[in-house]
Amino acid sequence: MNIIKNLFFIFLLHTWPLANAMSQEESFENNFNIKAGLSASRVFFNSSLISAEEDSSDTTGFGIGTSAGYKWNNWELLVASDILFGKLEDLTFQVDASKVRGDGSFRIFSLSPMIRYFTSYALYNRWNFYVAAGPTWSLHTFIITNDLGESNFSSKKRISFENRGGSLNVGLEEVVPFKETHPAFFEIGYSYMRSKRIFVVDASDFKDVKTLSKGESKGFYGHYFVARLGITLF
Amino acid sequence: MNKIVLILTVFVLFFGIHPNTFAAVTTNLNQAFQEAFKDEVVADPKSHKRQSIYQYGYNDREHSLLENTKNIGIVYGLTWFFYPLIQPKIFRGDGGLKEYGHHFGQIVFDQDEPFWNGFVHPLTGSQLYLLYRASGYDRLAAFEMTFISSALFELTVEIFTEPASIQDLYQTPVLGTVLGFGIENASMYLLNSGNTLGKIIGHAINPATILPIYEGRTLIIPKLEDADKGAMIQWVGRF
Repeated sequence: MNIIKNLFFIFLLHTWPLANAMSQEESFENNFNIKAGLSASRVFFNSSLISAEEDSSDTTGFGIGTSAGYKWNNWELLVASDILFGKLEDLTFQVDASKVRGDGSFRIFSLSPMIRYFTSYALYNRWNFYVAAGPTWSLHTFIITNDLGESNFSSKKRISFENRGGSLNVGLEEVVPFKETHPAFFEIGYSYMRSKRIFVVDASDFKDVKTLSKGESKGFYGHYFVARLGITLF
Repeated sequence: MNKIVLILTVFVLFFGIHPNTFAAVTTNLNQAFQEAFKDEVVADPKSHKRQSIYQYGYNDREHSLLENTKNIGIVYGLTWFFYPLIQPKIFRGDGGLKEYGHHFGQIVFDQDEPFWNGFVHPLTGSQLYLLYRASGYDRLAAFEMTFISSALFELTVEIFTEPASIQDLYQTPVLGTVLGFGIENASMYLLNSGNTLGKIIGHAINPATILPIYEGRTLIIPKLEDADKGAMIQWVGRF
């Protein structure tokens, strides 16, 4: 059943763009678009895996946000992604029977199919107000570099969580006559996620990262507020 | 590293270049290099600035569904041929048909390091995007063709060794297109600067501009005599 579902997904994935590969790129509506921008976020991590007070952390992340979408008149269907990097401060995990606690860094990759609605409200007749929402799938990877205690964990290993969640975004997009003028946008988003699976991987050889263990996990959750500033490339 | 070799191989052999022998490929590339750098240095007598005889750009044109399918088929066919050659473990029992059957239809998050997902995949996606741009696709169509080519590779070829990855499916075409868009603009600026170093760097970051499939090179012959002032423009195509 899973294979049939994926094959259907693959079929959809290929037929739509192939049929549209002759599209006129200057058209804003009834056409594809690619957007990209920089993002800054405030990220909050929580782990109920450890019954201690040091089970949460908040930090700042920076990265890039991109999206590929198809826009009709007021509606747009898109796939959006955030890639965020940041420093990690004082978070504790449980890996097998050991506690792993310390500072380090994190990276987040999130992917979200979304629906965006452009309202009729415009600021100064130039900035169109919009809202967007959708489910998210994300991977949070943590690299802890100190205070590894008695665990056999090392800085070459990574803990990653595969998460499910959702996001809600509001923003302003510049009203311009042609897409070639690269309209700018500014948006603020909120994203929530809860873990579904945990992985411990060995990245000693960066060319061939090995999964050491994996399992179900619902003990990690987090959310982030993000500000994105970018343009429509075409 | 294997992915880089694969993409470079596909890139070099992509339409236009004689596919039979590597000798023919080398000869054609030599000719293409000579062609790209043969124009003489021309300077404006008043401003003393260099002027390029060749103008570089992109001639966007319509492609038929048949042409799209053919182009995708060529890239796809080359990946089928070369991937097993650069991934010999397929023949050693670490991959192969058993793994292929196991991975077919799976889409997972990979655990690769940012070097691969944030650099190698976008870089290869950008060169694929520039390859389609060179053969006359507009930006959106080049993105769509890149998307199809990379997804076909990810979903039906690379699964000899690993399941298809969500990051690769998204980042290769989307980040590749974003990067390719930047490279496209930078390379066109450098190529049209008339400066030799600019041309070398322009071709180096956008190597599709020296391949025979590139459709955007224009020869401009200025005519400065008062009686017959103007310019003769000639589209330069090499097929």
